Amino acid sequence: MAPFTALEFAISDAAKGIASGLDRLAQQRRDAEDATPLTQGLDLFHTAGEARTVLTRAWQRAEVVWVKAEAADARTAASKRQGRDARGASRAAAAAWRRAVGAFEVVEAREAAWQRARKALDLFDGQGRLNHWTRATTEIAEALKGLEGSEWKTVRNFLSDPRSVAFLGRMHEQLAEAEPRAEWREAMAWRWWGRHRRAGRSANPRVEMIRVVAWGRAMDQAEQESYARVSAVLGSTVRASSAVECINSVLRMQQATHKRMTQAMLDLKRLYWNSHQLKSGKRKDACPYQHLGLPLKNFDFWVLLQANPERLTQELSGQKDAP
Amino acid sequence: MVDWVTTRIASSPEDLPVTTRPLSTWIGNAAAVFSKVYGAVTHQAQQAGCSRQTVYHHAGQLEQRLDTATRDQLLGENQRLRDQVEALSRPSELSVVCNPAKLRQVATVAFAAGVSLRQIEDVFEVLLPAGRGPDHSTIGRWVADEAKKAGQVLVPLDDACAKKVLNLALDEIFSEGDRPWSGSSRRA
Repeated sequence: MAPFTALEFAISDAAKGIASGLDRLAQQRRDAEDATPLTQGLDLFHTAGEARTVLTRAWQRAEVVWVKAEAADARTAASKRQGRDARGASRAAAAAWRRAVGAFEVVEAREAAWQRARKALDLFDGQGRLNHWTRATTEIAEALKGLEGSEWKTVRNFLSDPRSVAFLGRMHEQLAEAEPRAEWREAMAWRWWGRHRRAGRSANPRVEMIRVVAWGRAMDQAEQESYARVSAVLGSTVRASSAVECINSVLRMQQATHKRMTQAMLDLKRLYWNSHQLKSGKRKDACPYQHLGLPLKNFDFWVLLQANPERLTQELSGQKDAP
Repeated sequence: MVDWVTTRIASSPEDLPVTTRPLSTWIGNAAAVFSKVYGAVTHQAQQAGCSRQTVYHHAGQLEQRLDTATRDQLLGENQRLRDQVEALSRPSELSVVCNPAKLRQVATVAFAAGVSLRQIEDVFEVLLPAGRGPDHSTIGRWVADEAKKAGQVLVPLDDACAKKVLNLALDEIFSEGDRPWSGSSRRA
């Protein structure tokens, strides 16, 4: 981790090894009187994934109970059709339906609680106001009351971890730095929310009209500059990353293909993927090295692989080639 | 010298001019007419010992002898072959150079993208003439050599990247020894 001298924010799953490594890096910086901040965040990709898994299982169980209730109904109908005493079957069916409805209500309540927690982790609330970690923490605490049961333990642990809302604290620090005037900051953030978050239409036509007029109004020079600074912070706020899991799945697939995976092979694959131009998505038509802003003339994998490391060092440091 | 009178061509005798003069005289007469040089016909008539009218007559008959349609066809064929030769001598945009360097590049890129050595070998067998493609051990050596280069190239690249990273997503993956996720693996 030592080479990451500018690193300010690291997100990961709840792995203790990574957290320990980041703690050590923070300690090293403190020892070296390096004032560069280092915040740890919990990758919401894992929290959302875990919640999805638990919810899917819960819905499947509720559906099984529902199917049993339908079968009990069928038995009652058959008894009646055959002229037999259906009172026992009818009572059993009613009990089965109570269980089915109960099971559905429980799962619905769990899902609603999870959605509440999920919304607490957004950058904005429903009105377009910037979310704050205190509000998020309160909302999550309320939501956790609805996430009962051992199967929700992992999700509860993730949500209770302060690292889950760390990105909000960092976002507010950066916004305050980018736009010190609180009113301007909030106004620009609200405008960004209107433009980027595709806020749903308000039920109140007056509110909707105000929104349309405000978002469509041309900004003067000062406003444009302020908006650009706020926009840069909001656009770079990271809550989760699926990229790292994507790379892991690619690597796992390739490790299964190759009998042996040496460090040299990993290096080759790393160079390939880092210089590989993305074909789709918001980062398409450029490779990761380009997105990071490396000052290279050519990002082609084969050209980089054949490059002289010393000349590459010169090029990356911005030095002119030796005559 | 060919005696035109006694020579017979069974395929199309009706096309042949019937004459008592040698073929060279016919051709000489025709050449004098077609050359359009002033005095050539007169001079040729004197040399061949015939009249100027005969010289013109021979030229006309020889011209008729040449089948115009066949001539056009031959000219067309000639042009087509010339075009073909030109096209073949010009490097095609779709042609692929399969020299050892290019094969090495293809193998390295394919391996880096996740294709196994055996699969790369199979692809080369399809692309190249039988027995001309490298086997998987050769491909493995190529890839191993290039992988060593990757490690050297990554030193300055990693250094430059690390300094620019503000946000980092971290994860860990097991990458040593056997595959623990494989169903056949005892570690799984």
